[in-house]
Amino acid sequence: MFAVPPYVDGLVTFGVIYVLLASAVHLTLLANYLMLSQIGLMLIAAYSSSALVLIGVPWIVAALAGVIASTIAAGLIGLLGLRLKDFPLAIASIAISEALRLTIVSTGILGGIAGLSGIPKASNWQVSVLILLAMLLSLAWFHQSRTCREVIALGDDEISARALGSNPLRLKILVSVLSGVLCGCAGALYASYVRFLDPNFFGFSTLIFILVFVVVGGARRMFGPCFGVALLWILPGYLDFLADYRLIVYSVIVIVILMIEPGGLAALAERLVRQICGAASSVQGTRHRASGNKNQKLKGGLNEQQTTYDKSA
Amino acid sequence: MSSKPHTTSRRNFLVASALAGVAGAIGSTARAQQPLVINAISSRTSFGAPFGNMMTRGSEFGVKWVNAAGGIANRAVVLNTSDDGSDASQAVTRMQKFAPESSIVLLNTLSSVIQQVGPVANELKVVAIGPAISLAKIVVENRPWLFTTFPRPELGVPSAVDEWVKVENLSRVAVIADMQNAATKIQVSAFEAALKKSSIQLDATISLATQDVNFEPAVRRALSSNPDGIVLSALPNQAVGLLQSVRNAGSKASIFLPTAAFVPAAFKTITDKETFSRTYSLQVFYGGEGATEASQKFVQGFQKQEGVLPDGSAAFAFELILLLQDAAKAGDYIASDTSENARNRLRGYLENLNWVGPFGRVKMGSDGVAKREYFVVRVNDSENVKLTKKIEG
Repeated sequence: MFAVPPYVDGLVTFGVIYVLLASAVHLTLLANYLMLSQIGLMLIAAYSSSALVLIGVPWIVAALAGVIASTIAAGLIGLLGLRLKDFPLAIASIAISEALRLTIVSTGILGGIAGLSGIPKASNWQVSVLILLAMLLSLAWFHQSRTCREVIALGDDEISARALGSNPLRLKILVSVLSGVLCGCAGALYASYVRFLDPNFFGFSTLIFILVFVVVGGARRMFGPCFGVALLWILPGYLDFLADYRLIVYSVIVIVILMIEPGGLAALAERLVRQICGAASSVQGTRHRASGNKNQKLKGGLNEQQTTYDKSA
Repeated sequence: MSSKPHTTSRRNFLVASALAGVAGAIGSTARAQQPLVINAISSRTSFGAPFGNMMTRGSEFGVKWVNAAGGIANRAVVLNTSDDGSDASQAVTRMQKFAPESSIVLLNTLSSVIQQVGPVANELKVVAIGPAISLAKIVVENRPWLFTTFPRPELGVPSAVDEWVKVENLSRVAVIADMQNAATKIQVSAFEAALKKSSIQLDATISLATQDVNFEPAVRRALSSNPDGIVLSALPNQAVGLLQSVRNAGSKASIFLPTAAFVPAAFKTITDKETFSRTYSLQVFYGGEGATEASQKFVQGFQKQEGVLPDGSAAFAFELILLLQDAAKAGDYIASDTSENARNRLRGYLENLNWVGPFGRVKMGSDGVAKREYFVVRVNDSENVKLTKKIEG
């Protein structure tokens, strides 16, 4: 039932994995908290869930254990916020990810540099879509909450947020933990879909990839990661005809999008929707004026125009 | 209404047969003229590009070569290359895209990427073959649909060390190696075991990281015990830098450079021939003095067309296209058929492969990894190499 071609299966599953990771980065960026250990957290979940599956633990239990491990680690990394912020925090959190990766590479545990193989396949596009829907619903609920408004206020100005009664450290740990949950889901999903873990996948280049998704999609908007992944994950597959110029064109597309709308694709979409709605209400207003009597037209026309102007503003 | 029964006269039958014959002939001509598309996943961009680009150029050169000789099964060949950006997730989705429409997918990509593509090839039952999978474990774990024509690099090491130690009369050796790369790590273990067996003192094994670009500290540590032989086991982009660093430090020690086959173009940048003095390598010999006529033609033709010397990746990728042409001649690669039966037939051909190509005999092992002829070569410069021993690996 709902069988899709293998290509679509992979496209959707990897797409969801990248949306989860990009959303994890988005949450920390909402608070202007540059905790960038997401790839390391994904590594923790991927390796711990795989190790459990390989000793016979059912996948769903192993995946949950992986998510819990990643969440606990995220909470601990969140404590970095006690001492660090901005670029020092970014560097320290990336260093944690690298240290985790190099521990596997250098000590040889869990397959070492040769990778961990033999992981049974347990996920597909249906599982991925279910996880994505659950994540989007949870994020939508979070974005409506007072806590999210506090997080956004913290991101805008930490001193003001503190003056308004927010506890910055609590909020930073909270976004780290939520980020850890998403990274954990991404890690467990990735391991059970790819069936092989290469420690080098969890390196700096994957983080850059994710950051591009977030920034191009819209770092401070809930659907930003979805927009970013939808464009930048799917697009390369259709640029093969450009051969060696593919990445140049890809880069130009990224630059053009950011120049048109620095807030990313989600902000651009919002702007377009506003303009379309504005134009629609303007047309509606014109029709209304045409059907009204002369006095009403003279009186109400100005008001309509004012309303339209307000809406588009 | 006519009650006359519907019968076919002899004349009508002959006309209909003639028309059907003409239509069939037109159809088969059209099929014969339709090019045969071979799908390839290639790391053409990002960190895998130095390998992926050379493999792609090797495949493209092979396609031109085969087309000049009439194509495969009388059909012109077109290579459809898709760039995976050296990213495993992109490679997996490309394999998922190609598998339903192909009986074979070429993997002109990195071993680390193929590790994740292998399970997909098995799941979708499509023959996937990589010309340069340097880690045999990947192929062994993804039987029966994944193959490589690349030999196990570690197998020739004991014989090579014997030869090197004897020719150079060595007593103390140091190793500098990229220990973050699975293939070089395995190779180093093989070197360490072989040196121990030859009763050669191993002074030190110094670790490099894949991203290291400053080789001076590692070279200084290696030279501190004044060894008379140094093994430099690193990826091609590091190998040239390491070799130059050793010579810049004033060492005249003999060098064993296992990856030399993959850097001839980079070696061209070294104009000082002293750098190469007493430098050795272990490789499947594909060019230079003593190579087959086809191999010489390949090296010259490739250099003329691409402007660079072909490296080992390009040579093996080129060879694979010729292998497919011969499989088609034997009736085991049915170019127009992507059915399970046709795929199984091609898989059977590869499993029982005992083929003489332009670079010598390729015999497929039961584990899907090729066994072939190795040579210890003395690297005099990028083009002039001297064979010292042939090893069956």
